Amino acid sequence: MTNTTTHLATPRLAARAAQAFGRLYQLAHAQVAPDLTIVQASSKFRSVLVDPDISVEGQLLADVLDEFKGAEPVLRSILQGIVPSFQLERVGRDLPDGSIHYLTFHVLPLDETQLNAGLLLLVENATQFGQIGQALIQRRNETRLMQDELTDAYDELKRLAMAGRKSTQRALESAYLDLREAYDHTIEGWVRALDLRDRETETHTLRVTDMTVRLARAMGISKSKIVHIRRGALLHDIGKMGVPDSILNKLDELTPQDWDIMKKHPMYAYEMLSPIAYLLPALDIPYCHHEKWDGTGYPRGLKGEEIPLPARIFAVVDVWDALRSNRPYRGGWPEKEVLDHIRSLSGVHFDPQVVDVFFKLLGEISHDPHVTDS
Amino acid sequence: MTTLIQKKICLLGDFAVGKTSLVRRFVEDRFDDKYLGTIGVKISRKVITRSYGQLNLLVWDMTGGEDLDTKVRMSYLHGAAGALMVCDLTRSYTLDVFEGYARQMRTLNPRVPLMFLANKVDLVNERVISDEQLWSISKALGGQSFYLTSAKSGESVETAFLHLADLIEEKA
Repeated sequence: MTNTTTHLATPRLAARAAQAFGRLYQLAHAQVAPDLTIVQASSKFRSVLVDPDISVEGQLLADVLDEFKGAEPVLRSILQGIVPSFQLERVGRDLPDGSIHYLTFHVLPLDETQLNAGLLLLVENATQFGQIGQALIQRRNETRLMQDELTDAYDELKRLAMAGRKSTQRALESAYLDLREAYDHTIEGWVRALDLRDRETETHTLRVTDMTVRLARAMGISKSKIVHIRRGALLHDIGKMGVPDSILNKLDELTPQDWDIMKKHPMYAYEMLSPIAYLLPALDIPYCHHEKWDGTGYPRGLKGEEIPLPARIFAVVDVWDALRSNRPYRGGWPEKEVLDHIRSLSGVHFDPQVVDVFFKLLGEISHDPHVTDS
Repeated sequence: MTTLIQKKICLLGDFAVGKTSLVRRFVEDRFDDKYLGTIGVKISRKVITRSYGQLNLLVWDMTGGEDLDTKVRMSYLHGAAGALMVCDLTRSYTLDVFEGYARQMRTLNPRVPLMFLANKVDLVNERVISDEQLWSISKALGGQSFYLTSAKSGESVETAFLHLADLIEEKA
C-alpha cells in the first residue's frame, strides 16, 4: 500500500483519512450519509464489491456490503458521537482463482466536530497480513491436533510398555521424536512467516538465537534447558504477528498510540504460545525480553531476578545485535560504541552478571580462530 | 411479491471443530477433508424457503478458538439474529469455549437463539462427549436445542440450520 499519494474523492475525505491514520492511504473509500446511504464512492471502491456492476450511490450501505448488515445501530452510534469508530478486521473474500483476499473496513465520523455529519468508510487491503496470519494459525492448529493424537497414542503405548514389551518401548521413543520434530518444524515456519512480514529484522533472529545459545552455555545453563532457550530466542518476536502492518512497517516515527500497541507484542506472544504445553518452557524470552533489570521495562515491569534468566541473557544479545546492524533509518554502530553502550546499561537495563559473562564470551570468540561471527 | 428477509447468523466454536465444513455442506452441499483454518471471518449466503416466505441467511464463519480478541469478535457478532455453537465430539475441551461465546452473544442480544452442534458424529469410535454432557451444557447456556452433525455425511446439517432459521423467525 503506498503512503505518498491519495486517490480519495475530495480533499476533505483525504484530510480526514490522513488525520485518522497519520498518513495518507490509497484506500477504497465511500462517503456515507446520516441515513446510511452511500453519497459517493471512489472508483477503487467497486473492486471490493461482490458485484462490481451495481450502482452504489443512493443505496443503503448494508445493501451494498453484506458486512454491514446488522451493524446499523453501531453506525448510528458513531454519527451521534457515542462511539468513535467501528472496525471490521480481516473479512475474507474468495477470488475466482481459489485464493482468498482479506479486507479491513474502517468507519469513522466524517467530521469529528459535528454530530450527524455523515461517515467515512475506508477499506484496507489486509491480504498480506491475513495470509501470513492464516499460515501461522494453520500450523499452530495442526500442531495442536497432532499433539492431541500423539498424546493419546503415547498414553496407549505407555500402557503397553508397562506390560514390558520392548518393541512398544521403541515405538514410544519414536513417537516422542516425531512430536519434537513436529514442534521444531512449526517454530521454524513461524519464524519464516514473521521474517516475511518484518523484513527489517530478517536474519536478526538467527544471529541472536545463535549468540543467545552461546551465552547461555557460558552462563552454565544445562543442555536440557538450552533446548527451550533456543526455541524461545527463535520465537522472541512472534507476538509481533498481532501488531498491524500499518504500525510494524511504518516509515514515520511511531506515535505514542502506536507504541502502546507495539508494546503489547510480548503479551500477544504469551497468549499465542501459552496454550501449547510443549512451548511453555520456551515462553520466558518471548514474554519477558523487554523487561529491564531496574524494573522500567514492559509488559509487567519485572525487576532484577524476577526476570527469568533466559530473558536477561537474551536482552543483552538482542540490543548488541540490533545496534551493530544496519537499519533503513541508520547505519550500524561501530563495535566499540555498541560495547560501551552495553557496559553503561549494566545494572540498569541488563543483569550485571550476564553483561560480565557476555564480555568474557566476546573475548573468547575474538581469540578463537575456529569461531566465526555469524 | 414475496419479500426477501435477510438474517445474519454466526458460527462459533473452537479451532478445527468443522465450522467451515458445516457452512460448505449447508451452502454448497459438499465436503472437503482438507483442514484449512479460517482467519478473521468469511460470509456466505443461502436463500432458504420456509412457510413464512424466503429467507436470505448470511452465515458468518469466524476464526475458531482464542485467536480473535474479544473486541474483534464482538464486531463480528453485531446484528446477529442467531448463532450456531459448534464442538467436536472427539475433543472434549472444545466445549470449554461455549460459555464465553454464549455470554458475548447475549451481551449484544439477550434474546438471541443459540443452537448447539456436536460435529463429527461420523467418527463413532473416537467420540468422547456424551449426549448427557451436551444436554447439560445446552440447558445451562439457554440453548434451544442440540444436534449431532456430520459435515462429512451431511447428517442433520441442513435440519440444524433450518431449525435455527425458524427459531429466529419465531422470535422476530
